[in-house]
Amino acid sequence: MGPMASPSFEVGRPTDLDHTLSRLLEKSIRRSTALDLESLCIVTAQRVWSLRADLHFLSHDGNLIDTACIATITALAHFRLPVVTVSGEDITIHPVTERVPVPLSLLHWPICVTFSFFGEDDDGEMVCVLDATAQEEALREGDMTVTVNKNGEVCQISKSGGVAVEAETLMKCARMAAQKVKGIDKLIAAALREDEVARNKGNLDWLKEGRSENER
Amino acid sequence: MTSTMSLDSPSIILPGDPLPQLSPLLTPPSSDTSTTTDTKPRSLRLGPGLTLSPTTPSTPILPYRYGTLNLNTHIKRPTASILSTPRHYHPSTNDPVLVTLLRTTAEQFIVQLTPYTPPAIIPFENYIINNAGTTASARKSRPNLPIGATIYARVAVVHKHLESVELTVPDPTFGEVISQKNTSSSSASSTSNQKNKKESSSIPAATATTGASSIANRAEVTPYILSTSQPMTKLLLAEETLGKPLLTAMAAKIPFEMIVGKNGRVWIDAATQKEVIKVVRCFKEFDEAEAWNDEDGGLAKGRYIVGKVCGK
Amino acid sequence: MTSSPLTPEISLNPLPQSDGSCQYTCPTSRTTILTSVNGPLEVRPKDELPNHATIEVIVKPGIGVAGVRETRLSSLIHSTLQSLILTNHHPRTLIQIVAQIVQAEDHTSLPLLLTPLLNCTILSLLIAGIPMRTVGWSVHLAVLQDTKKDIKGVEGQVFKLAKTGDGDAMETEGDEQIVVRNPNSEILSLAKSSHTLTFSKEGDVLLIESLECSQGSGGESADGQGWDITDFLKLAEEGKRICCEEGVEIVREALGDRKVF
Repeated sequence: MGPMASPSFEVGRPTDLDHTLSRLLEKSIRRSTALDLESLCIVTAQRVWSLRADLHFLSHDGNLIDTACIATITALAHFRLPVVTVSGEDITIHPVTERVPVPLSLLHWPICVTFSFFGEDDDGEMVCVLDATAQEEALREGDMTVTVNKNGEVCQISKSGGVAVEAETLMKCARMAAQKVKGIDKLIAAALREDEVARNKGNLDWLKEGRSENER
Repeated sequence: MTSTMSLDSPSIILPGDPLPQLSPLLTPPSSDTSTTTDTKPRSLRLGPGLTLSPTTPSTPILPYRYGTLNLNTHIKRPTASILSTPRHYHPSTNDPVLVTLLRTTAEQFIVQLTPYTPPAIIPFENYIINNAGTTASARKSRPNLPIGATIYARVAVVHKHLESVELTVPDPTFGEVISQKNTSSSSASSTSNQKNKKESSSIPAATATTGASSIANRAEVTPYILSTSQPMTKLLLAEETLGKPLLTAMAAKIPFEMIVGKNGRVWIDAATQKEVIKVVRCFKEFDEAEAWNDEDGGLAKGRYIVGKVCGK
Repeated sequence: MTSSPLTPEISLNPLPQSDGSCQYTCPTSRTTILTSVNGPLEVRPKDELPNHATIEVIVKPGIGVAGVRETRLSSLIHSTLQSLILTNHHPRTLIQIVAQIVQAEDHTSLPLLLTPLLNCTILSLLIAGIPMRTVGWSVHLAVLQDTKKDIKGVEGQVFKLAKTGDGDAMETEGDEQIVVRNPNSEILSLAKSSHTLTFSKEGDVLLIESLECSQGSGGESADGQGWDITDFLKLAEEGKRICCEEGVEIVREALGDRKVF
C-alpha cells in the first residue's frame, strides 16, 4: 500500500489498515484451506512449490478488503502451474511451451463481504452499507467482514469493536453476504472464461505471457 | 474580458514551447521584467501557466503547464495565460472557496483548503460578520464555530513564500455555511442565491418558487459537501456554457441549491435528503466519467446519468 | 496490438484519486508502467526545502518488495526530473511521484524498464499540471553485434522486425551495425550495447544511461570491448531526432484529446 492509492499512505510505514488487511486475507484464504496445499508438493518432505501473491493498491476509494480478496482469489484461479514429472530422482519441470500448465487446485473461493454500520435508524434497525466508499468508511460507526463461499459456507467473521450489533442483524448480514458472494463468484468465473477464450484464440501472445508468469 | 482573441486552432502548448504570438504585446526586451509585472498600461499580464524565464532569451515568456494559450488583447490590459485543468487546486486571489475548520487559535481560524496540503488561515480581522463591517476580532462578536464547520470564504493573499494562504470572509453572504442556514434563513438564501440564480432561471417558473427561502426552513435535511475534481468545479461554475448540459438536465428533475468552492468542494442542498443524495450522485458520476471530454461536452452522458439516478 | 507498433499505448488519468496519472505500455516489449503524481502536497518537516519543492520518486516493483534496483531507478528518474520541474514555483511542498511496474518481460532488466518509466512519469507530470521547464522524452536503443556472422544469425529476425515494424532497424553508414529501437528482452540479449537516451524537447541531453554488454547477457555483463565514440555520437544524433520529433509528437497527440477550459 503506497501513496499511489492515496497520499495518506506513507512509504514504508504500514498502517493499521495494512495489518488488518493481511490478517483478514490470511484468515479468509489460507486458513479456510481454499488452496489444496498438498497439491503443491512435488516430492514429499523434499520439494514443494512456493506461491506468493503480491497485492498492489492503486487507487483507494474504500472497501479495500473485499477488493483485495476478490483480486487474490481471481489471481489464484487464473494462475497456471507448470507440469512436473517425477521419475525416481529426476524432477523435470516442463516449460509451458511443452506441456499445457495446470491450474491450482482451489477447493472453494472464499470471498469477503464487508458491512459498514451507521447506527440504528428511527425504527431501531441497524443501517448497514455494502461496498462503502472511503468517505463512508471514515464516517462509519462499526464494520464487520464476513467471508463466505458460493455454497453459503461461512469461512470467517470478523468484527473488531465499533457499534454494538444485535445477533439478529449479524444473521441477516451473513445471509446477505452469502447471496452477494454468489453474484461475485459468477463475475469472477465469467472474467476467467473470457480470458481463457481470448488466450486460446490462436495468437501466440499468450505463450509469451505464460512464460513471464512463471518467472514470477 | 472584452476582446478575447481565440486562436484559429487551439493547439496544445507544451511546457517550454516558444510563444511568438506574445512578442507583439511585449515592449522592447530591455525592460522586460519591469513591464510585464507592474500595472502600467500596455504591459502584458501573465496569468497562470506562464512565467518569465531569464535563461532563455529567445522566449522570455515560458509556459510551464500544458494547455491552450488564452490571449486577451485588450488595449489597456492585455493578459495571457495557459488554459489547463489540472486536478489539483492552485489557490489564486479572489477565488471563492469552501473550507473546513481545523482549529481556532488566538488570532485566526486554521482551515483546510484541500486535503494533504498545508492549512490556510482566516485571521479574525478578515472575518466580517455583519453588513456594518464588524469583524470577528472582538471575543464577543466571534462566531463560535465547531471544528469541522464549513466556511465559505474568499482567497485574499497567495504568496508562495508565505507560510500559508490567507483567506477572508468579506461580507455576511460568506461565512459559515450550514449553521447560517439554520439561524437566519435570509442570509442563507442570499448566500445560495448568489451562486444559484442559474438554478431558478434554468428551471420552469412553477418550480422556481422552490427557491432558497422555502428550502431553508427544514432543519432535518443535512446538506452535502461533495468533493469534485478541478475540471468539474470549473464546469459547475460556468453555468451558461460548459455546465449547462448537466445543470439543465439536473434542475429539470430536482430543484436544488449549490455553492461552488473553487477548491473542489460543492455544497448541495435540496428539499429532501433523498434529493440531495440524488444530485450528489449525478454530479459524482458525471465527474468520474470525465464526461466533459466527450464530443458533445457531456450532454448525452449528463442526460443519461440524471435519467438513471432520478428515474424517467 | 497497436496500429503503429512504434507508438506506445497511453491512457491518461486512469486513477481517479491522484492529481495526475498515466498508464504506458511499450509497443515492443509490452512493459506496462502506471504512474501517479500528487502535488504540491504538505511536506514532511525533515524533507522541507526553504526555496524549492521536494521531489519524491518511488518505484514499486511488480514482484516482491523494493530493493536496490528500484532505488537505482528512482534516483535516475529523480535526477532527470530535477532539471525538468520548476521546483521554485512551490517551495516547501512535496511533489510525490509513484511508479508501479505493472507488467514487464524481465522484471530485473534496468534498461528495459527505464525508458517506459521516464516517459510515463513525464506524461503524468504534465497531466497533474506540475510546473515544468520543458518536456523530455526517452528512447532505448540497442546496438546489435557488428560481425557479419552474427548479423546473419539474427538477420531474419531483424528484417522481419523491420517489415512488421516491431522495432525500428536501421543501418548506420559504413559500419555493419544494426540499431533496434525499444528492443524487447530477446533483442536486448543479442545486443552489444544498450543506450537509454533522454532528450528535452529542445534537444538537450537529460540522461544517458549506456551499457556495454556481451552477447546473451541481456545487459547484465560486459565483454570489455566497449563501443566506438563516433558510432555513439551518431547514435545519440538519431536518439535526439526520435525524442525531439517523434516523442514530442506522441506527447502532443496524447494530450490533444483532452479538453481544457
